[in-house]
Amino acid sequence: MGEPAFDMSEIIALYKEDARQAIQGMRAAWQQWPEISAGGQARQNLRKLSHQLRGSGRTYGFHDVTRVSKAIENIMMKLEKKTLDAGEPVRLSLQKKIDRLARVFKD
Amino acid sequence: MALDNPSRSILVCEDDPAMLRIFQFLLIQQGIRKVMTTSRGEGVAEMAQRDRPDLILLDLMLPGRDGIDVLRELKSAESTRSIPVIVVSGKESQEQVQQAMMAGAADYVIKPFEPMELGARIRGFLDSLGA
Repeated sequence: MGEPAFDMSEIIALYKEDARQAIQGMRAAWQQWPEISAGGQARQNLRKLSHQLRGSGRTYGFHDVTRVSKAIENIMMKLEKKTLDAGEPVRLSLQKKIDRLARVFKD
Repeated sequence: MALDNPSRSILVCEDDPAMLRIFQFLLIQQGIRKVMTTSRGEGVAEMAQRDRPDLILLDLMLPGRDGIDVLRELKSAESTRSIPVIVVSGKESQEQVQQAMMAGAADYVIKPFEPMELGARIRGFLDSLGA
């Protein structure tokens, strides 16, 4: 007999709350664009939160969350390595991605 | 099959509340009653020396101290070197995996992971410890 599938419904509800808070934190960091651009604390916060959501998203069954968070984390790493300029296109791209994450947990 | 490992204890080192919750869920599924947690890198070795867990789940990106350094410290101390450590990390490069395995990790699980797969790996380690 095979193993019963895990019923994760209870912790998924809690995860959604965690994720909403993380996305709020990401938006708050993004709103401090000069700090993101200059490599300050907001950049560290946005990178850390995107890293965490990347790890937890698919684990909880939210594949899109992992995919979008990974894209944000990659941008933050490129900014860190100075292989990408923190210009307007990057700012808008991050905004769209954060909005997309927020839509996943909107209800 | 009902799982019961009431005498087993596990130390979970993880700073993301969402991941911590899923670890606790998986450990309850394995019948583990004693789960110790820490969200910081400092103090992990001291906790392990004091509480002697049967298994450690270790994230590499903990605030306060690099996870690889924590792993090396665990493996260099007589009292903790035999405790298996499963590294569960979002760091996915081959170099990171090799570094952790060379530092003494018993296994390396990349986030995101399939919960059932990690559960099976935890069970495998617990089974290998015997009764």
